[in-house]
Amino acid sequence: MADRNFEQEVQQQMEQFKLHPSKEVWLKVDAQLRKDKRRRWFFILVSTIALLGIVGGIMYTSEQKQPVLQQIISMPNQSITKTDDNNKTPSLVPAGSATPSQEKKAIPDEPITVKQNISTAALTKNSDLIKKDETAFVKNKKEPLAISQTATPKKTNKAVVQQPTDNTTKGSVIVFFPPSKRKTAAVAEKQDTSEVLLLLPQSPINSQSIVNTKDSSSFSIAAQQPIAYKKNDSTSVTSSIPAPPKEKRKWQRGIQFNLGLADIVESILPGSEYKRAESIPYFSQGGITGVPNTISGITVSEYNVTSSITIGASYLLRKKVFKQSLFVTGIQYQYNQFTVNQRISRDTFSVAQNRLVNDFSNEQTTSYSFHYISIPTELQWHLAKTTKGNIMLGTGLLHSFRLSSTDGLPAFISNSSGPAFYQPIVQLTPSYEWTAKKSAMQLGWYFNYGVLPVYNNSSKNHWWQTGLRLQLFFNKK
Amino acid sequence: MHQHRQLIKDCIKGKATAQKELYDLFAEVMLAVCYRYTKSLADAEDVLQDGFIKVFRNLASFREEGELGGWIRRIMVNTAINFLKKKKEYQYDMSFLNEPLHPVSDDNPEIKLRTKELADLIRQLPSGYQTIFNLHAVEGFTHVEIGQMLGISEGTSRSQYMRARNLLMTWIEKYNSEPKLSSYGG
Repeated sequence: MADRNFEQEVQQQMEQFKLHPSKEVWLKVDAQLRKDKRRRWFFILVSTIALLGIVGGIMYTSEQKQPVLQQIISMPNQSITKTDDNNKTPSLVPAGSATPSQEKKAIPDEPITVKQNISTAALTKNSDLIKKDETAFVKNKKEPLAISQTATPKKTNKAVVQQPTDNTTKGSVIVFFPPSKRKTAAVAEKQDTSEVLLLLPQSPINSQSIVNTKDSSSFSIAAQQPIAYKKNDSTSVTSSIPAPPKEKRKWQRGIQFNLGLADIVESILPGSEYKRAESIPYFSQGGITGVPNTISGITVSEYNVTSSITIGASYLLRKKVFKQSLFVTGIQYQYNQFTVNQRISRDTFSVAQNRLVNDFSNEQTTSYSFHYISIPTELQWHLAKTTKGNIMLGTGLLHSFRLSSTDGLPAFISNSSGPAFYQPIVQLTPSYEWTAKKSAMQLGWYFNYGVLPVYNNSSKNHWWQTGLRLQLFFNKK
Repeated sequence: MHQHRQLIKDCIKGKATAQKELYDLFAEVMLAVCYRYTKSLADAEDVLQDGFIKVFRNLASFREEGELGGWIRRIMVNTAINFLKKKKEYQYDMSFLNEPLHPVSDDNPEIKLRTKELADLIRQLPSGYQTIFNLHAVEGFTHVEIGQMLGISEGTSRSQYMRARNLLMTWIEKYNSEPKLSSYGG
């Protein structure tokens, strides 16, 4: 090797140099890559959950911090007064003319009548009246008021009217409203269909006014401070009352059972078939001058995948997130199975008979089972309301983590080293929900499709599952 | 269009079949590269394993301007250097482990044998010499680049290389003058 060409010679020699690595190297590389993939999916999963949590949190807190409603009691040119001494029913009279001495003259065109049981009510500014941080306002008669003598109204969907017990507020009425009815109150202009609704907070009254708009029959109250009305009070009052505290949207607990069919398919439709034919040449590698093989012929393998059972049970948590939807999550155990029917047939060439003869045939069925722990992330949308319940649509992703599975691989899956650890499954579930005695029950028909291949190395095998699921959500205590 | 564009795309997507294909395509050449930098086949395979993991993790950053083989080779060399740096005792390990190797089939076995023998002679050099010799004579890095890669001066790289080169040439001459085993076969 000449000095001047030494490096060149070495380079040339080394370019030809190759070594065959042991199989373990690839296995280790592959294992590491799988681990990376799992980490990546785990990161995506955690990020998705975190994102959902953040979005849910923002939505939840934004609803909690709704701006204070600036509602005005609309009674232009009117003030609350009595319409009839005998009747003792307060009504609205035009402002300015509403002095105690002119009460009768000041009878408004469209008086608003307080319920009879508060006919002696004094609509007063006296904040002593206020016992509870509750809201009272005008309420339509169509929804009957429950009357309670207790200071603290029970949680109810109906307004509660209370008679204050202390002397200073004798004759007044306190109407407690459920949170859902505190924002506004529509008051019919007709005398016999309206009631007065009062906002009764604890804190002292600031500026208050009552304004009536003649052309509007709505009578609403919202203020940042409590207000109460004294009879014969002719002053206009506006009041800013804090938006009443909203009822917290609590998680509703529930359980789920599902039963159906699972399949592993190339496309969305089940029942895929796989066929393969292999030939064994008559002559070996030496070509026609080589030695003939003792067995020569064609081997045909057929694989048919059929649906098998899928069954699961879940513990669920559900919460309202949008106006028309509920977010569902929890933990789920899922058992999936699919079955492979395999048939192998071999025809060999018989020199004696000078034709192909079937010398081997075998048929067998193998089931492959999977155990998953899953985290559902689903939104249940209210689609329509019926007399007895709601029609809903569930859309979401089931994050499944494989606990264990049958050893071995289906024969048609080649170059695969095992089933995937993480499997996101898209869910679509039309359902019907109705209320039972102590729970909300939901019956749905689910369609699941695995986003990733069941077996890592093959891109053509995906979960497809369908069946019925029953969800029971227990009422909040 | 790059020769391995589709293969690279599939590997980036995480398709295991494509990853295996890429590995099979370059593993033998790259193991030879790793082998020249290390003293044992086991270490060479460790470097190969780490190197391929880096390749697959960073394949998305591969620019199709150059050869994929060259890019992978560069990763292997860097991985080997890091491996040697981490194993400080390696610097003093002068032993030559004559491990069974599996040269890839070649039409000319004589060339194959010479190649392996030359590689084995390079591996007999002290680790410092061995690394610098490989980087300069085989990979074609300049002494400035080698200095930057190994954290030594250009002069040190140059002098180490010359010593390695002289030592290797002496061994080659000695090897050539020795009667071959086949001559006695007679």
